Parts: sequence; C-alpha cells; structure tokens
Amino acid sequence: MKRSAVLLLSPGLLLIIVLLILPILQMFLPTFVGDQFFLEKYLNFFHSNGNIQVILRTLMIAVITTLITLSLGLPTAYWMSRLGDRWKKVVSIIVLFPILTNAVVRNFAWITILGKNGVINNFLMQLHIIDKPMTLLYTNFSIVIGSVYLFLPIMITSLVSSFSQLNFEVEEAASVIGARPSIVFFKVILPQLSVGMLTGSILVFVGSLTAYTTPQLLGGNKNMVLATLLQQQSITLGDWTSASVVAVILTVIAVLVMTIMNYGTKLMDRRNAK
Amino acid sequence: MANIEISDLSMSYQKGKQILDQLSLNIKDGELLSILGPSGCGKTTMLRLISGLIPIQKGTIKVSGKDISKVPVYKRNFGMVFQSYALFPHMTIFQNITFGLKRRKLDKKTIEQKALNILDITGLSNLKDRMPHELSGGQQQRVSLARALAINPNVLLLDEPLSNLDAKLRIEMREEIHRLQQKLDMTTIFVTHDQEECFAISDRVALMNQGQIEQLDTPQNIYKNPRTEFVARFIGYENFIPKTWAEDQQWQFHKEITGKLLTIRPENIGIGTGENTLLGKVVSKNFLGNYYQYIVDTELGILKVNTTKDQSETNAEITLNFPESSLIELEDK
Amino acid sequence: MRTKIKFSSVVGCLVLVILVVPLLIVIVTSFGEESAISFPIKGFTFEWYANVFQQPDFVEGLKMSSIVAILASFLALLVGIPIVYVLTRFDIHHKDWFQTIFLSPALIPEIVIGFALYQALVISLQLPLFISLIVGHFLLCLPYVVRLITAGMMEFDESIEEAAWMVGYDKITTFFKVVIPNIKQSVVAAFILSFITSFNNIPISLFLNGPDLNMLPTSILNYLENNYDPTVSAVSVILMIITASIMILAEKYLGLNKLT
Repeated sequence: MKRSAVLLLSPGLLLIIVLLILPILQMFLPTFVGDQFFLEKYLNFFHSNGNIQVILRTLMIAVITTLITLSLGLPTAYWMSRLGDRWKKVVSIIVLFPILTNAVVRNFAWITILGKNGVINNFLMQLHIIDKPMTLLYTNFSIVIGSVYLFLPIMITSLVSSFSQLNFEVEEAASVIGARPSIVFFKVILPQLSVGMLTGSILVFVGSLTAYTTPQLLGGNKNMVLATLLQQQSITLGDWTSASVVAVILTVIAVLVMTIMNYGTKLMDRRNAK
Repeated sequence: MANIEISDLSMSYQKGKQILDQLSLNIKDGELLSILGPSGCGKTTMLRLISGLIPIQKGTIKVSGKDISKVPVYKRNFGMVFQSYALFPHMTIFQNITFGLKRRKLDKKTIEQKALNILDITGLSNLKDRMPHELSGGQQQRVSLARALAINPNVLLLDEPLSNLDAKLRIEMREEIHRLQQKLDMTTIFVTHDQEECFAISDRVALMNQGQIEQLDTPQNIYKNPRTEFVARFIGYENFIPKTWAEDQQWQFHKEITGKLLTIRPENIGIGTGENTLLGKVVSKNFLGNYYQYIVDTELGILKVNTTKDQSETNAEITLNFPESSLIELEDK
Repeated sequence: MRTKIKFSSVVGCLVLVILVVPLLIVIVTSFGEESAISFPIKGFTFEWYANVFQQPDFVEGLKMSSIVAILASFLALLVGIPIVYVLTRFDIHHKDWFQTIFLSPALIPEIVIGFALYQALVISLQLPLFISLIVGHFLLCLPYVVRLITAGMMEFDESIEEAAWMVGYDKITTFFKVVIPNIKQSVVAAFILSFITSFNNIPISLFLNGPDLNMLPTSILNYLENNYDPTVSAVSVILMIITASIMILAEKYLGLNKLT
C-alpha cells in the first residue's frame, strides 16, 4: 500500500480501534468468564423468565413496528411519488421534520395524548363513551405507537427513493395487456420495490430493537426492553456484569439482523440488475 | 519542444494481467503520433504512464534525452486533454486557463497576457467569464485544450478527446487540434479508437493490440499495407484467403513474407474473368450510395465485393478475379 | 388504477395528519395556564417559556449539547474526509473491510457504545467526562460523514483532480484548491447531519453525563421523570424551532434532498 494512504487512514483506524473496538472488547470479554463454564453468565441470564420476556417483548415490538410502518409507508410513498413537484416538496418537508426533531419531544407528544388525563381519555370521557380513564400509557401498546411514530418517516423516506426509481412504464404496459390493478401491484410494482422495502425495514427494525428513549418514556418500569434493562442493570443497580451480558445480547441480535438483511438486499439488488 | 523515447515499457495489474508488454516507441520532435486500438489494448495505460498519472513499473521514458521516470506528474510540464473535458467546475474559463500559469513564477501581467493569447488562438475570448457548465460540449473541450496549451507544455497528450462530441463537432474539433498542433509545432500523442479521426490528422500511427504495437507507420502505409490480420481487420479488410489454398489454385501473388493469409479490399476484387479467378454465387446485393456491395458465397466462404457498376443479380453465378497487385500478404503474429 | 390511487391518497393524508397533530398538540399545550398539561388548554401564557430559562439544567444543557455537537462534528469531518479520500481515490486492498470498520459505529447499538465508553474511558482510564462525551459523539457522527462525503466524492470526476496535477499542482494543494471547493456541499451536509444527530442523541449521553455536565435531551428526560408541566412543552417547541431553522438553512444552501 502507498505510504500516503497509510498516513491518511491510520488516524481514523487508530481512533476506531482505541475508542470503539477495545472498549467493546473490554465489555464483552468478562461476560465469557465463568466458574465452571464460559457461557455461565448467559445461562443464568436465560434462566430467568423475566429476562426471556424482555427479549421476546423487544423482538415483538421491533417486528410489529416494522410491519405497521411498512404497511402505512407503502401507500404513502406511492402517493408521494405521484404528486406534482410542488406538493411533493411540501409533503417531504412534513416527513423530514420529525426525523430531525428530538426523540424526547416526539415521545413526549404521545404522553400528552395517551396519558390518564391525556387527549384521548379526556375526549372519550367528555363524550361519555367511557367513565373511567383507560390505561393506554406505560403498556406495550404505547411503546409500539411511539416506535411507529418515531420510525414511520424513516420508512417513508427509504420507500420514496425507491419509488422514484420505479419504472412506471412497466406498470402501464402491464395494464395495457389487461392485468388487473391488484395483480399489477403485486407482480409488477412490489418486486421493483423490494430493495427499498428491505432497506427501510432494516433501519426501522434495528432502530426500534435498540431504541432507548421510547420504551423508557412510554413503557414505564413494567414493560422493559433490552435497552432499558441495560440502563437499569448498570446505572440504577450498578451490576456491571449483568449489564454487559444484556449489551452483548443486544449487540449480537442487532448485528445478526443487519448482516442477514443486508445480504438479502444485495441478493435482490443483483437479481433486479439482471 | 521535445522528442520522446519509450523503451521496454511493461505494466501489469496485481492479478497478473499484462497490460503493456515490453513496448518501445520513439516519437519525434513536433510529430503528431496517434495510438490507435480497440478498448483494452493498453493505449490509455500507455498515455497515463507517459503523463505520470500512474507510476512506471518497468522500462524507461526519456524526454529530450532525460529520463523522466522519477519525475512526479506535476513537475513534468505536459499538457493533457481528457475525454470528460475535466474542467474545474468552480472556476471561470479564464481562471481555468490561468490556474496552471499561477503555479509558475510569473507576474500578473504576463499571466494575463499569456491567457488572453491562448483564448485568442483557440477562439474562446468571448467566453472567458463564463462558468464551465454554461458551455456546450464542444466549447468545453476547446477550453480543455486551451488550458493544456496555456502552460506551454513540452508534450501534448490527448486522451480520446473527441469521443464525447457529436459527429459534426468531432470533425471540426479534430481540425482545430491539427491546426494548433501544426502552428505550435508541438510533440503530440493522440489516443483514440476511431481510425478515421486518427488517419485524418496523424503523422504516424501506432496500432496497438494486447499491450504491444502491431504496426507503426504512416496512415497511408497502414491503410495500403496492413502487416497482420489484426491490423487488416481493424482498418476494414474483410476478405481473407489462405495462402496454401491460393498456391493450390496456382494463383499469382507476391511471395515475399512468410505467413498463412492473403487479404484484399472489397473494392479491389473484380467481377468477370481476369487474373486469379474464383466462382461464386451472389447471396445478396446492397446499394450503398456510391457503390454496390455484393455478398458472394464461394469455396472460401462469404466474400464481400464492392463495385461501382451494377453487374449481377441475387442468386446469379459469377466469376470473381483477384488482381495480383491488390493481393496483400500478411505476417503471422 | 383509480381505486388504488384513491386508497393511497387517503392513507397518505392520514399519515401526514398522524405525523403533524402530536407536534401541534405539544405546541398548543405549551401556552396553557394550568400547571398540569391539558388539552384543550385553559387560558394563554408565555410563563412556561420563561420557566425554561429558569432551569439551569436546560440552559446549561443547551450550551453543552451545542458545544459537544459542534466539536464532535468537526472532529468527524477532520478524521472522516481523509479516510473517504483514500477509500475513493486509492487503489488499495480490502477496501470493503475498511469501509465496514469506519461505518461500524453505526452497527453497534448506541446505548451499548455509551455503556462501553463509560466503562473504558471514564472508569478504567479516568478520562474527564467531557472528553468521553466528545469521543462518544464523534463515533456517532463518523458514519454519517463517511457516507455523505463518499457520495460527494463519487460524483466528482477524478479526471478533474488529474487535470490540476497535470498543470503543475501537487496532490495536497490540489486537494485544497480543487477537491474541497467541489465537495463543499457534501461537507456542509455532513456537518449539518452530524450536528443534528449529536444534538439529539440520548443513549450515548445517558452514560457520559454527570452532575456538572448536562446535555439538553437527557436533562429533559430527567425533568420529565419528576415533573409533568408545560415547561417540557415549551422546551420542546424551542427544540422544534431549532430543527426548523436548521432545515431552512439547509434548504437554502443545499436543497433538502442532500440530508437524506
């Protein structure tokens, strides 16, 4: 390799190794030391029903959030891609604004809506549909609502860029030869969008999997997910080793999901390119 | 002004693919030499080695007797025109042209004088305050040429400068390059894959194939006497005749070089009896403006015959003749 | 065809409403006179905005968050641009490995980065919190810089650099006189995106703040755990105004599509 390349790359490489890789290793390695067996700490972790529930809850929330954002995002992105330039810009700004706004603000908004004295309960009680406030906040439901709200704009943005590359002539050709609209959508449009859908799904799935702010604010203490469990074990309880075990599990799941889905994207990209 | 001596230039990529293979070439002072060849033949690599944009692995390049192998690109004082024009997008045309001059220790007045002079001889004076993106492709390439000439280079290097232009502009621009090259008497290397533009302006042509020079000659000689089958095919010969077959038929032709093939241009094959005849059947006849092209099926396979006179019809049996003086012997490679 | 377009526009409009209304509710509640957040509001007051500036955690947090975001973004550009230059312009082995390494901070969950840095830098190496915070946010910003600058370099014709070398400029001078002016937009976009990402971050700051070192988002989070009054609405509105101003600036100088 050329000397100048080494010179330019080494500061960055050094910083990443010293400031990221080594700290991660320092955290990871002690979790694989046990009195009898190197996976002891993990066995203990999985022995607890509560912990298994946390993992399942985390995964469920990520899956449901991805599915909801996908099914709301697809029609929205389709609609946006067919708007005139001027309206498209206005709508894009409305979609981009929440992405750039702090997550605390966006989650706080849902506290005011879902809370005991929140907008929904107030409204329904005033109409005498219910006479006692419903428990909407601090449930799995509120975490999902908050996550969807947090990640829907990201899904839409990923889909819009893949809609804008979509070949609408193929669609017209298909309807000219007499294919029904639903068939045109599923057989012609959807395959062209698969890469955008996967990219968006990776971002949303991994984002909601590792999110801290939403479950913290909207989930409360009963509905823990891996990220809040990590925070609780470390900052609140000071149990660094258990926290590290949680961190390793969270990282492994996230990296695994991303690797698999990225591989899928590459495969589809190649198939579409043909 | 300068002459260039290239000797034993070799270049290969990491995976062992040989791009240039012990190539030697001398370019005379003030000469316009074209490097012609299909894509992948190594012509661009050769130009980039000469320019210094890529380092030399093996061999030497001397300019006016001085070895420049170790001289970095920015100290070579060569002018280069790129296929993509490569103008500096953030500078006006005037700034594009003075950019190289500013690096040289010249006072402001001299720089301006030189730039105005170059703008004048390239016909760009009225565009000097425009930005590159406001210019047409042809104008951009003109600026690119002016920028290369402004630094008063020892050698001018042209890397497919015409291939992004449309047909009419291409002819105009190649005349312009030729005119300026003659006027400034500048040693010039012109890389192209287009034989017409290359033949039109070059003093000599180096025809390259697979990292080697197949033939180095004047355009006329290359056209009249291709040395190998590759050269012949590249410049439009399509009829090839095995020598052993011709000998069996007791054809008359010059036997000066050893090789397996003879070739002849389509317009040199005669219809009717004469020297060296061969029977065939007309497969199709195409009218191509100033001549007819007959596709003739013969014992040797399909041959193409161009003639100005309408002499036969499809499916007719005809006799072809091959004048001894038009049969060209090819060397094996 | 008709029915599908109708269906998608109904969903599209609904989604827009869902995206906008919660933020509008926050804006409205920030003006309510009652000390508990309610909607619709009773009365009208600016008192909660005044209260925001009475909270030392918010004022100091805003300052600290801005400083950290600016420093981390600068650092990420300083380290990231040379990296991208090598990865896009040099012929080196294992390019995709290097690419993965420099994008790796984006692979690891932010909260894990925060936790790991706390153990390694604050506990083991006893580094000051401020330094650790800058490190964490630098790691957060680096992938954005690498991605955006790479896109900018890919769009920039390599021959233009070569043309500058040919007329007599060495590679370093060419980099500053020709490359930088032409990727300026990507650099600005990378800075803006880095700034916003760092400014909004919670999971990393969570572990790396302390009694004397507050970041605005974590301060709001702490405040929310003990109080539920329109001060939070007011500070949220201030954050929205900051976001909007950044978007207007970005739109004016770059076009918003540069940010996604």
